[in-house]
Amino acid sequence: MSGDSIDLAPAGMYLWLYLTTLVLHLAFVHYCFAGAFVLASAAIRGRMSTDPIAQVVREWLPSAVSCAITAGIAPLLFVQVLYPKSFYTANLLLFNRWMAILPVLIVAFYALYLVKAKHYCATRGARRTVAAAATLAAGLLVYVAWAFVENHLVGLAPEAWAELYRGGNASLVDSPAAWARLAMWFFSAFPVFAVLMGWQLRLGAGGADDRVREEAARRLSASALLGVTGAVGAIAAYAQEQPEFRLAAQRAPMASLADVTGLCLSVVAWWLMRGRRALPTGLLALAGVGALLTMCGMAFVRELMRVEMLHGTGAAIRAATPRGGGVAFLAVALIGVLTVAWIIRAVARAISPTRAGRPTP
Amino acid sequence: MSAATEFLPAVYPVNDYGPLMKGFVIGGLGIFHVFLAQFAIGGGFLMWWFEWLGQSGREPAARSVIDSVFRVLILLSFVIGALTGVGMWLTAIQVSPQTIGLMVDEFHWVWGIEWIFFWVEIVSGYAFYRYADRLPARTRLGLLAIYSVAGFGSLFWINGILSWQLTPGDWVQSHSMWDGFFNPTFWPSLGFRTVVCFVLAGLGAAIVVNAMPSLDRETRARLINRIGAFMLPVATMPLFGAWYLAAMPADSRSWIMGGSMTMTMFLNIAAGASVLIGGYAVIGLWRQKLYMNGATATLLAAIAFGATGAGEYVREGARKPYSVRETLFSNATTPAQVASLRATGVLANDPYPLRDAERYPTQQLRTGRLVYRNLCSACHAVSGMNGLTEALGDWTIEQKRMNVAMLQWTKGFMPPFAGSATELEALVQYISWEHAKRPQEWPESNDPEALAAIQSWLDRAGVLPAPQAQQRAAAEEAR
Repeated sequence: MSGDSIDLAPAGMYLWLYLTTLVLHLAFVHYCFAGAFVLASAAIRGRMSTDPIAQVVREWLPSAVSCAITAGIAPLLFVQVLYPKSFYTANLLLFNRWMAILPVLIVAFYALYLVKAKHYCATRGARRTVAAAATLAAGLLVYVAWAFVENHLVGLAPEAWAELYRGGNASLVDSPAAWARLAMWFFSAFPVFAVLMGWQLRLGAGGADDRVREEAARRLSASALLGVTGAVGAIAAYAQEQPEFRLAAQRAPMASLADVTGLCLSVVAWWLMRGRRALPTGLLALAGVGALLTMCGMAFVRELMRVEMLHGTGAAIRAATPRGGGVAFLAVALIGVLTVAWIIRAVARAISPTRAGRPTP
Repeated sequence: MSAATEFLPAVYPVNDYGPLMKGFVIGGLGIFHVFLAQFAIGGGFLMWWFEWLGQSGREPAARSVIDSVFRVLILLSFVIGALTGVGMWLTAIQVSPQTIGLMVDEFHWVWGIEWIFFWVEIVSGYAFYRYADRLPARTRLGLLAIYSVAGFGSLFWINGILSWQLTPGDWVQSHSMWDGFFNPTFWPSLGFRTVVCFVLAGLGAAIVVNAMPSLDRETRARLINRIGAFMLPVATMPLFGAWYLAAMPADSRSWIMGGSMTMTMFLNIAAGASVLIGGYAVIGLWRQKLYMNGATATLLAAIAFGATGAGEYVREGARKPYSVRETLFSNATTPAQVASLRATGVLANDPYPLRDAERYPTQQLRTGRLVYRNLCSACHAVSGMNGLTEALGDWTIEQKRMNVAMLQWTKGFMPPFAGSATELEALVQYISWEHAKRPQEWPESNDPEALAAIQSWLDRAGVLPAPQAQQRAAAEEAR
């Protein structure tokens, strides 16, 4: 193997880890992103206490943001292993606007906790505060999404780095590609959110009964179908603006097929749920598979756009391979999964209705 | 060039922090994060112990404290703690991408393991937070045990990476990740930090207990004394501190034990504050069963914050002139690169232009500014914190030339100058120009004799940092 070529085995492993953890991260991010908008919309319309979806979102959003941040650590790690030069350079070029995501997320997080505190909905003035906090949180999450869009696109353009540095403000606010990418983020969040919320309601979150689930099926399917439609439009716009994306999609027919299949499955599943006004397990699973396929396909195509950059770091990847700890990581990951499974099982058993009312020793 | 460093990208864009020092930015965030994280880790163990006290009937009021402490933990640690942790990574990239790149390259699996611990911590934490009142006793205890172990696990793994920066140990030769991880200061550092976790959690819990209106004075006093007992491991702190000092490299130890007055002063502040807090916990709370009110607990927590800050400052400062000892200098050059950069010049591979080139009257000053950006800005402002104009401005031009050329001899905790003689002269002119308040006119200095003198000083200083250079000189003298 020549000095600059990619040593595919370790690169493939790191890419696989990166993409897997990225998709996990994205699932939480989509839930938070769309959830914040659902919450803000309900709060602005004064329906916080009557909207069952908003109630569940309000209850779970702070935890979901926590999970999104935790899930984001692994892709943040593996992107540094794979593309240190482009990732670090984009971080540095965007500087304070990139670093601002930290205080922005902290404020968004506490705004969501404020919204979660139910007693704040008691009075009219408090309801305004909640609406303001929910809107603020949604707006701040848009900023974070924009920062990630900029970071990714700046990292993809090494030929522009020196000029961006000279300008001192590597802003992509004039870039149609950046806006199209943000639109992709925005719209694709809703189908994923709909699936996760559907499962939450199905599993009894918020004490959902059949009537609530019927109403939820109508609204979730509408938002998912609108989301899919908007996402398709945004993908088309992005492909128009970013020829590399088009090229990557052509180079990976299987990933593109997964995208299209996933979108079709989502549309079919949500269309049927809309007609039936119910959230049956099978159709929710079908919509989930559709969303997963789309996320995986899109993540793969996104990666193909910059896979050439691995050439520059092929040596680094080779060097990283013999570093100890891979086996320990796998062992700890297995123990971690088992522990989390035990926690979920123990808690689920303890709070299940059949055990309700039993005294705590 | 060593296997670990040959892949480091040469040049990244460098941002200007004005009068601020980059280390101050990352240090400030780091101290805040470390304080919160250690509080959360100790908090897990404290709650597990209190849960056991409550369940075993030894302290009936203990369980009511747990819910309150947990709320504080969730609001502080799960939000600000988690985000400042991510912030540490992003800030490290801003300050020295080469350093964080090397750390990720070497320890990415360790960080991956730490990530698994984060997940277990967050799932067990939220499960307890949401459902504790509906869980049976054994599950409550089990969840808190898992939460505590997961929190401690994250400390265990990150401790290996942080202590490796100061004492890479056998890793320097073997490049085995485990050699680097279980380095000479790993265990004393882990022991010391674990004790700090217990103390911070105890102080935090004392504040919470005092803020709980549902508890009467007698119950509070009992709980505070339990907290005092929980903080007893603080008595072992001097032991771990002494062990840590003994395991440090001799030159690093000499800086903090008098060689650098600032570091010595911070070490004394950290030690003095720890003695105060530890003495109060052991003698006041445990032996004499004193009551600690909310104000005292808050004051002690503030002192502990100061001690954490001082301690972290000393730990970071003791690594000088390295960011990873014997591998990477603070300005992101490697010992092996210094020799080649002396020949090629440090600017040979820098593709990034000056943002304000028109501000400088001559090309030499522009070059000097670029040399500053590449070699000095990691630790020094031009003027301000650790400012070059304040440190060097009053020297004569000859002094500047010689002292910068023989930098590692001028100040033992500085790295060797990693550029050409021409670049050094440009840097000296730039500092002098800045010190003279940036006049419109500034003559270019192209004196061949000055450049020859600089070159001879560079040659005499060599490319090794001072301790190694001294060892080599002593060996040559002995021969």
